[in-house]
Amino acid sequence: MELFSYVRLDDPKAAVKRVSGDPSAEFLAGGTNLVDLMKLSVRTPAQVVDINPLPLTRIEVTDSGVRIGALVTNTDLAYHEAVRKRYPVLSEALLSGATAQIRNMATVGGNLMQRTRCIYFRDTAWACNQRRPGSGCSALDGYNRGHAVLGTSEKCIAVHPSDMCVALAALDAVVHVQGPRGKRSIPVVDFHVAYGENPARLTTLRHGELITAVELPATAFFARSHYLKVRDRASFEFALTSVASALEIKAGKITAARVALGGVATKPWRATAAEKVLLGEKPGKSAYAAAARAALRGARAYKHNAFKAELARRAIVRALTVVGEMA
Amino acid sequence: MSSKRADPVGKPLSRVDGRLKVTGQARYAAEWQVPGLAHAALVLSTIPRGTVTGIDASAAEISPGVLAVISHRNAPRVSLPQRAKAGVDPAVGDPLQPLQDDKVYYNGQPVAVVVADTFELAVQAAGLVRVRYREQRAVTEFAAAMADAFTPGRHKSSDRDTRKPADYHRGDADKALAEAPVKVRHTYAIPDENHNPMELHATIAAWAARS
Repeated sequence: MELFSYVRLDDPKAAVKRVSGDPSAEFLAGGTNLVDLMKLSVRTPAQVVDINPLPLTRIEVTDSGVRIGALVTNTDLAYHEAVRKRYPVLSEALLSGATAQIRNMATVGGNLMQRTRCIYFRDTAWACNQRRPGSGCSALDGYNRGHAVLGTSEKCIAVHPSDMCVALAALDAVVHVQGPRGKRSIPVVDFHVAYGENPARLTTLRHGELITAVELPATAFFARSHYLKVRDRASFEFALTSVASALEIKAGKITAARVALGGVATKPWRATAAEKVLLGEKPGKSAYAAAARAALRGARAYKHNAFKAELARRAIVRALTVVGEMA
Repeated sequence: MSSKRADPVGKPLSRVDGRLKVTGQARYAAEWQVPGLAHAALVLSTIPRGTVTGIDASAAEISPGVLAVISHRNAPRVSLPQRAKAGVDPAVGDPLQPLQDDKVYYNGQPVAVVVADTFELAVQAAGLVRVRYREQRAVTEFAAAMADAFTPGRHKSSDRDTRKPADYHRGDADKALAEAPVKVRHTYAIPDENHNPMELHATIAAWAARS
């Protein structure tokens, strides 16, 4: 850990000004990821701007959907009545992550910004293109059982760690941000940049831009959704593979579908190819299996993670089966 | 054989220190306040096996609040009987003798200690110590080391428990297996099980005049 200055601000404009004016400043929300990484000297901000007093803790249900403040905790979001009823995949994803104690602290905005748990990223003794651009990727020839099979390159094969973001990718969520030059909105699928593409650029957020809210559209069939997470132990563990899925079924045919993958890709992975395969099909194992094959087309295995593509295919079939049988 | 006391097996028991621990009130060794306390932070090896060829502590030594940077080059010698492989990887029952030579036996081995006025300043300075190594090939997989496997002899430790023979025999397992009506032949690989205590290692030393 390195020494840093700390300031706590209660005005979004002031917070944006403070961070955008200092390249070595970082926002602090729940601290469940940033503080860990500071202790490991993986992240060394000279200034930490605590935004917890900002008025971004509300969940608003509107005609156009649900708007979630950036400082809403994982716990509050997961147990919110509208979220449980209208977006069960999101509630399930949140509750499958971390522990009750961490969920009580972790925030929606922080979750969007959380960093990979790649062991070579978290240990400063190793080369890592995310931590030190151009230094190389130690995971390529290292212990890569937990690493990605989609969206990789020789630059980075780390897995994006979030459960919540996988559900958000399936739900067409939009991220609202506020920067020194005003506000803008970014669809969550365009918010994260695949690590394999550019390991130094994790998101399309600019330095100093503050996430203020995440908005979910009022899409009716999202009530028919499910999150399946497969991992080495049943609690407090990251996904080996996970599937966020939703289906709209009318007159015995699939009329709309959402499939997103976690634990296998370098960003929250929206599997649009799988969704296309499902359209117009009769719900059932053969359609789900075809979608699963489409989702993993182009998957590339490394020394220890060849099992992931098959595990993900089976998880997709199972998740869609659960959704297909929902009332 | 019956007892009036309720059988505790399978029933929850309240831990005497449970409430203190879950409410953050339990006090651990590192949390005692001692006036004028200095703090130490470790510098750990970043290679699994080799030799320390250089330690550049110049930046750490001028870092704010730093009182000392201690490594094998300037550490006081520990006056314990030397063994061939003492250092930081002693045989079971032998004393630990840190910072006594330049050998690295495992990744994360303490190779230096920084002492400063506060914990934070010590940690910051520890990150400024640059260590150079001559690295040797490390064997980190059990299967790869099987060729060199041997049965340990009776240990000459002064500790009673570690003086017992490594192998223990009772009955006749070979005969019983040969005569068994049902046999299952399988190789099981069991992972390491680490003991993870809630309290991290900490030591406080305070010198006081004998009254």
